[in-house]
Amino acid sequence: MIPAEIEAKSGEKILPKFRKLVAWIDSQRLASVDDRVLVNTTPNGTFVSMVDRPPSIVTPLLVRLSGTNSFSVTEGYINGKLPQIKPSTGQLQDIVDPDGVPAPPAKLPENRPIVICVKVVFDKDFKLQSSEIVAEKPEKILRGGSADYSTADKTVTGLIPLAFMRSNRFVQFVSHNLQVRAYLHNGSHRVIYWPA
Amino acid sequence: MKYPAKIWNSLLRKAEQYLPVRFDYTPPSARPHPWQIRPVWRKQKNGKSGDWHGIITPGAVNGVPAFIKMLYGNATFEARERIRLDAVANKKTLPKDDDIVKIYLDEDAELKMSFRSIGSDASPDSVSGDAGSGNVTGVFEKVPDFFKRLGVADANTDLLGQPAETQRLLKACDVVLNQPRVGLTNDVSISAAAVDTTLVNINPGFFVPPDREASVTATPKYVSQEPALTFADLLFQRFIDTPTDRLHLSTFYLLSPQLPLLDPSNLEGWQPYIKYNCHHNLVHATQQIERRAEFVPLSLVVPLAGGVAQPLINYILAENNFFAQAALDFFQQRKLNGKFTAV
Repeated sequence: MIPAEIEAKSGEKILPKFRKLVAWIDSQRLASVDDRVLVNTTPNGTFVSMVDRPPSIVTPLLVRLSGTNSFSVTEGYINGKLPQIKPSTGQLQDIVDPDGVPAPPAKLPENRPIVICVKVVFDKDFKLQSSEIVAEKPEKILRGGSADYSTADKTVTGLIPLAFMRSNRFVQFVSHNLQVRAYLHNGSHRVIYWPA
Repeated sequence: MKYPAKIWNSLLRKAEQYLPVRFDYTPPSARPHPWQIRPVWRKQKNGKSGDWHGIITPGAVNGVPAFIKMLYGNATFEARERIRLDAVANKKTLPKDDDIVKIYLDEDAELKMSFRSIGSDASPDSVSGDAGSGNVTGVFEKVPDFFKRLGVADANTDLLGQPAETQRLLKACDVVLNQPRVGLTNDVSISAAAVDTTLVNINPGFFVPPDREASVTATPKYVSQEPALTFADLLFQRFIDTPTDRLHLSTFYLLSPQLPLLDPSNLEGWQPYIKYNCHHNLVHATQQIERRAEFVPLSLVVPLAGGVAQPLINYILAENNFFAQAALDFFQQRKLNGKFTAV
């Protein structure tokens, strides 16, 4: 992401932008030395630089990139239970095992944009049956409070978006554990969720 | 030697790729919340004047980031690339630099602010006059206490008097989230009375917006829309349902330096302050369209004129029943406005 201050538009003078860039690079030498280290691996070698960057905060159900084509989800709870995830190499499992070890990353589909969701399924008595992390197209997300109802097994399914990706970075949507509930209202099934 | 902008920009990208340089904004020490605004001053192409813009931390509605309508030429490289690839894939023409396009908040979209004045140089919201005393009084928006302490004075409500003395000027712009939704169309026609014509024609319907994505806009002053209160509002078309739910996200204030100013129209040296009303991503859900309630038609069985008049009575009652049914529909379906909830 090139900042607008140094990105040139047609007809603009380059020299002031070049000077600004040089000033920025020079200012990096003044960065305080602490545990905030940026490692940049390039074809010409690995460079280590210090950056003044705030420490990252981990929130429940935070979706993170793992490499370029996988993703993982941090520990978080739906109705007090861990949702499940299907890693790219392995069976469906809880996003964190009983020892607190996160599940291996799951495969990120190539199509964009993509939304990482929790798919919640309720049985005919509106009891939460399962919750699974899935990747879906944005158009699959139903409008707030709507749900799919299966006449075959009488289950009610809802998709709760966790994070959105347009090209190569996630925009986190949910930052809390969640409570979710299904109900029948005026002839249609609905799934609602709220921060827990 | 002259370097074209294209070469410079590609050089920057190569530098990022091959050198230990990474172009990234360092946010404030606290974690930014959704809808948080980073104010930036952008000079216009002539280099003399400029505008205040806000870069908004991505906020999402129902999991999808909102968008801002902005000039294609001002969009970031990533956004222009997305639009270019979309144009190629769908065999559309590429927008020109001065075309308006949708740029999403996760693509570093910028919102251009447009300001109202608050305080001594503001325009009154309403004016009233007293013919007896000759006084002309204006009602003005109050200056927030925070800015009063910084030297901004309230406007003089006596419009014929001297403007209030102030140390600084204040401007403000409201940032609003717009979520399209299904809306009620209210088509009522009333014809001249006649024996065999319909007096009132009510055609309630629904408008389904083609684009359901949320957008962020800047407006000098946000005014919330009040729903219609009576059936007469509906019947006489005083009620027009706007198929959009709106949420006031924040107010972008600009405080001037100490007066006098060399050029009051130049806002470059003014200090921005932002007041937030929303710090979370949002879920938006509309009201459900309720099922039509059981309607009991009017009936009047009176053997007037030995029953000869009964067909005429039935005809009149049928008209009334249709009318009442339509009215009932209006009442039940006009409240389609949705709600935003934080998540």
